[in-house]
Amino acid sequence: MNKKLAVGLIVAFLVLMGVLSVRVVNKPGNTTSLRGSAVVGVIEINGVLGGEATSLLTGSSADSNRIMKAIRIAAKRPDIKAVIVRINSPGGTAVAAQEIGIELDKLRKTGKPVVTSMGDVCASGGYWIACSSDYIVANGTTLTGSIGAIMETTNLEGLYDKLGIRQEVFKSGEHKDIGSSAREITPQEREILQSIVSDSYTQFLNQVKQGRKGKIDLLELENIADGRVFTGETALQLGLVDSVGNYYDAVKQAEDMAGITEASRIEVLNSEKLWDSFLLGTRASKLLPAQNMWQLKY
Amino acid sequence: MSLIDIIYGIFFDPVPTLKYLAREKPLVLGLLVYLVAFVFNLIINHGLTTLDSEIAGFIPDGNLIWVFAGMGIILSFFILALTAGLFSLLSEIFYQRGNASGLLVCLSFSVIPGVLGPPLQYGATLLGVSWLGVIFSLLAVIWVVVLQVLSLREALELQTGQAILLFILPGLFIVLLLLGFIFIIAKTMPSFPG
Repeated sequence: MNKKLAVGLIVAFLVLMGVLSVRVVNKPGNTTSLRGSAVVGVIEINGVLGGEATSLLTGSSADSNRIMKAIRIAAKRPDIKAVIVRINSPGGTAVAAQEIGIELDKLRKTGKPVVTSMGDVCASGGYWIACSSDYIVANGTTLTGSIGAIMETTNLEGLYDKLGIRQEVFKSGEHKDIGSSAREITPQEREILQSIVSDSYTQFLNQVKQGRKGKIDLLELENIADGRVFTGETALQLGLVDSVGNYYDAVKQAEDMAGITEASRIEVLNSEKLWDSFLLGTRASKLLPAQNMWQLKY
Repeated sequence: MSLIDIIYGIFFDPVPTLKYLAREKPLVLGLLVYLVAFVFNLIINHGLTTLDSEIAGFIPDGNLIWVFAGMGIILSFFILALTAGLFSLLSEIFYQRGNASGLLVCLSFSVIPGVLGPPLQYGATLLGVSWLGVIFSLLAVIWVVVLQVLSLREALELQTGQAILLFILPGLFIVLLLLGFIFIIAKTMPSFPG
């Protein structure tokens, strides 16, 4: 065989495979796999829910912005036929849970089924998010529930006295320094904050009622929605989840609901980037709680 | 010999080609070919792992891949040089024949058939016969090993048996060292009570 032709054929084959490989790496959606073109998108929610990601020093955190972005990608991409929301979260800020829940509701309106797969813990805000899916799969020993809202402030008045620190406050209104750590909370302030918590709790109840409509007894819900947690098995009996199974059972459920009959491809839509882990310096302030920092949490 | 002649020779007529490389020592060309082969394998292997739905979620993302790649390139060049130097030194000790730079060039070119393994595996995976791809990869590895033994034989002017012995000697040494280490630990450690 002609030398140039032989080497040319080998190089052409290598270049072809290289191009295909680069294509599949850069555009996973435009799959070059012959195993099936349907994609089941996976959105991972790990850690405490919050409005921004935290660094290695502060532990894992579920950044609602990134999660919402992944949900929007899932809604836009035509090759994604169903979505799994893999939740391993004890909850977090109320806003983060609501934002993600709203985005999931929008995704469901596009006709793509959303299935929640619960990990070790899917409680409070995590469960709020799960209620925005079409079907919930929990493991038998998953800790779930914790339906309720909480807000905490710390009174450091005694400590400040011992240290000789006296805070001077200039405020435009009576309640502008509500929740201040430098003094005892007043009965009126207690009432205001409690009403916020109660309102948030009502919103949570409504979310569960809406998400679990026809699957949960409403009277029973009022009894169990006191912040307590349940195992996956108990949650199934109470109607908080739809079935007990693992991650792959959830994938199978999503495929069935989407009518995927051929082999599908699973793709994680919000896997972590390297540089996110390196942003230690810019987020070091998160190691200490900000003064007067209080948040409404699910 | 042109680059095309060398590549063709490595695939279809390795012995005279390796003899030529050991004598002429085109070091820069050899290292460039080695680098291209390494980067190409990296791209194909990244594509392979992305294709595998079971592990796709666990592969490091874009930036991390290139950090690993950079480290891998530096490390692989280091290992290549170390291997050539070690084999040449051992050959000088046992057979009084050394040719480290010639061997380095031969070993660099001997990876060329290995480049075929991952693309064939990738092609087989695309066609849904990934088991065939694994066999292709295995054959490519065996091909490279045979070429490396031939590289030792031609670059160090040894007999085939001597080249094989030299090739397995470092591995054999490590295995014996490990066994000795385990034996020492087993002897010195107090036995567990009843």
